[in-house]
Amino acid sequence: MVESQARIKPVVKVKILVIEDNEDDYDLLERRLKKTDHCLSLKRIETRHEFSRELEENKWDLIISDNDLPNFSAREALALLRDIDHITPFIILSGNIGEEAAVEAMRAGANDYILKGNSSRLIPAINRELQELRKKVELGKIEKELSKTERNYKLLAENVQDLVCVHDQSGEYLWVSPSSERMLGYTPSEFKKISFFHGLHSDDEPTVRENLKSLRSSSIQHRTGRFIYRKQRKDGVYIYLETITNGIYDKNELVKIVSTSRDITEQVQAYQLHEENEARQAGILESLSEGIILLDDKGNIITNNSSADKILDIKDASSISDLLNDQDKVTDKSGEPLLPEKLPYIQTLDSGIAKYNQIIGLRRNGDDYWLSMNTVPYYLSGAKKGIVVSFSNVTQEIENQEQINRFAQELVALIENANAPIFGIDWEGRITEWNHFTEKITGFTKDEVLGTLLIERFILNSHKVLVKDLFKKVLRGKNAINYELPILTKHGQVVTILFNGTTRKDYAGKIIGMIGVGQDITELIEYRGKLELKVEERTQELMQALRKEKELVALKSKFVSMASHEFRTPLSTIQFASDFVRKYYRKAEHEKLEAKFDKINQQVKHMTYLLDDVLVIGKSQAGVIKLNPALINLKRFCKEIFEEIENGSANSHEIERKIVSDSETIFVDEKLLRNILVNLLTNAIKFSPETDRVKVNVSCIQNQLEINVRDWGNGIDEADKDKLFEAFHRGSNVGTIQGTGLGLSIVKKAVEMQEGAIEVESELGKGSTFKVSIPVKYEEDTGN
Amino acid sequence: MKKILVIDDTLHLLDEVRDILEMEGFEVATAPNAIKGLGLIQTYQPDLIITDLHMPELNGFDLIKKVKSDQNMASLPIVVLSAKADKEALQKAKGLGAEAYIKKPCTADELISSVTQTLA
Repeated sequence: MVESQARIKPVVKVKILVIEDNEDDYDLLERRLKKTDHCLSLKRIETRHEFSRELEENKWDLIISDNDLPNFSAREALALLRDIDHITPFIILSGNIGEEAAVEAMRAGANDYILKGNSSRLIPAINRELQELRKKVELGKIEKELSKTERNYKLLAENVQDLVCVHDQSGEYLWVSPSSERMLGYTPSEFKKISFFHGLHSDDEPTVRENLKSLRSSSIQHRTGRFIYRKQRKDGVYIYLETITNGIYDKNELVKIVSTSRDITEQVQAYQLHEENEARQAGILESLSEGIILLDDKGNIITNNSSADKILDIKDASSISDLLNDQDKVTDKSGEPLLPEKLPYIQTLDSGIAKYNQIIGLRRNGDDYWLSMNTVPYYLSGAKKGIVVSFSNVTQEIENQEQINRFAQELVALIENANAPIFGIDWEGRITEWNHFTEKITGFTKDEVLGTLLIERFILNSHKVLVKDLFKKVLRGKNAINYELPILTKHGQVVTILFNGTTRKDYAGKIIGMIGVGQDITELIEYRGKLELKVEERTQELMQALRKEKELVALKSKFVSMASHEFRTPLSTIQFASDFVRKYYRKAEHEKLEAKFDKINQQVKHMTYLLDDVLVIGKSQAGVIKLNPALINLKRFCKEIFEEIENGSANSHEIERKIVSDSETIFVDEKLLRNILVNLLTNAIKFSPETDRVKVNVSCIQNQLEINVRDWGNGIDEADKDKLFEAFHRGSNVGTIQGTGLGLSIVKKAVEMQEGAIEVESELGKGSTFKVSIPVKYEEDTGN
Repeated sequence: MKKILVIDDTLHLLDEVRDILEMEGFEVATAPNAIKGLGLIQTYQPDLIITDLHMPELNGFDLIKKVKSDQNMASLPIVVLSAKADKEALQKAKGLGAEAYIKKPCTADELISSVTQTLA
């Protein structure tokens, strides 16, 4: 270990213990040893017991042992010695020598193995071993000194958490503190055996080597090195070590290195974490489009992100107040100039109260900006350290907002002034919009209806369910197109609007209600109603015309069939009567011939009536008869007719008459009145052949003409009453009684033309009563 | 003297037919309807019947049917005197057994010749 021999002083007396049972051999050894320069003190023992005692009681400088003894052996002795002492040299002398035994002895700790009698080897070996011993003793002294002077340090080193090592100049460990086990998992003895570079992280090895190299080559005494590196623990985990090395120099030469290592893994990791956090935070700040400025409590800029620079052009500004220079025009949200003390960051700096979403208008370099700014104070350990100013350029948003506002205002005005009803309801059906036109048509002002339920208030009960369904549909997202919505007005009227409903959504697209746009179609509906009515009327008229046409056709066909019978019969009579006169005028009696002429006249008259009736019916069916009223003397008129009828029926019946009138003359259509009276009376006579009287009452009181004709004849079958007044219809019980089937239909026409009415009371076999009432109208220009 | 029964619900015509036939030397009985006419056939035993078709209750067709289906009367000739001028009525009456068919109106000569021819 120490190269210099000069430092070792000569040993005055060398104590040698010899284990030898052969006295001759011992003597020979003693003689030889005495020839050396050494001052020797020899002692011979033979047994194990003696050897053990010597080892305990005395300090021997050298032990020479015979290889083979009767009860003891050099190997046993060596084992005993090495149990307690590694320094004392042990030389084996053997009578015979084997290479294997020699190697084994050397392994067991023997210093040399020499053949007995080979003094040429023995003495140098002894000299050499003694010299080695001296070195070792010297070293032991040094160590003792070291332990003396550094006892406390060692104690300290053994108890410190740090790993303390003492290396020799080559880096071999001389001493390792027990903390190695805790720190690296190796016991000190395990640790000593492994190389300093074992487990060193390959990345760190060059640095460590460089450091050690400079330490070694340095000429400066007690030079200190400090380096950080990773070392692998026994369990394979790398830990960070901070090692401080101190070189111990002897005459400028490095002799020892003392190193103190500390496990700084946690610190390193904490530092790394801190660095990561910092980097992350910086990254976050940089990634924000929002500008961030960190101010201290004086308003000085601590840091800012690049977005802040981009928005406010921070450059060399050191304080927030530098950012807005004089020519910048700073305004508030409404565009009014903003005093510095009103700026949000100034306020937050002063008051410590955070401000959010402050809109600031800014004119810089001729451009207008809008900033939205948050200013939030930050605290460290409870003390206000400054504020964080974050802001973004919201110029576009503000402009958009303004545009939207303008648009919304225009839209509101448009809706308000639209020439159509526009109204809105919310999700519950409560009115939210009510434009001017809606006010106008309903009579309710917006203030009166806002918040009220539209359906409850304005929709007719009959339509409530339908409208509710319709609104529900719209509120589910389906539009309603062109529904006719009847709405109640303030004055209880109903206006109909053509309704279109659209879903109303909020900015997030959520349905919040419905907007209805309508069109007042009340007039249209009324017009449509009128039109429908008109169409109906026209249809009715057409149907009536068609019916009339059909009736005419039917009439014509009936006339044809009637003519064959009703005209042929009187014609036959006329034919026969005239033939009779022509054929038998010579031999027939004069009276008879006279009667024939009367008969001819009668039948001609009958045919004339028949033709008249047919013409009347035909005309009335065709609607060509015109009312032609004139003043007549009612009593005289009636009297003439009654006489005419009595004569016509050969006075078969007495006509019981009663004529009452509050004026002598009345204003009626003479022809029509004649038709009515003649037909009713001839019918009464004709259909009561078994009796001899009929009764007629004519009265004209207060311009109401009443005609009642009563007979006690056949009566009318119930089944015939419906068709009683139809042309050519004849009762089922007329029997042989002749007729055209036209009389009552003529009466009815005549009555109706004068806006009168006719009714009949009749019982089969008991007779009939016909009642006619006609209003008598006096024309003003008649003078009556 | 041949006996003729005239049946017609038109009384004035009935008178005229009777007057003419009597002037021609026939004995004439009249009936204002078919039922009365049928009764007279039994009692009066006419040689020929002149009948109208359009009559209430029992019409001319029914009368012909009754007469022609009755063994005692089937040989009694029937002359129809009707205002029914259509072919169908004529064919129906002839089909039922009427010997002659005169359409109203007709002349006295036509009536007389039809009656005499039928009786011949």
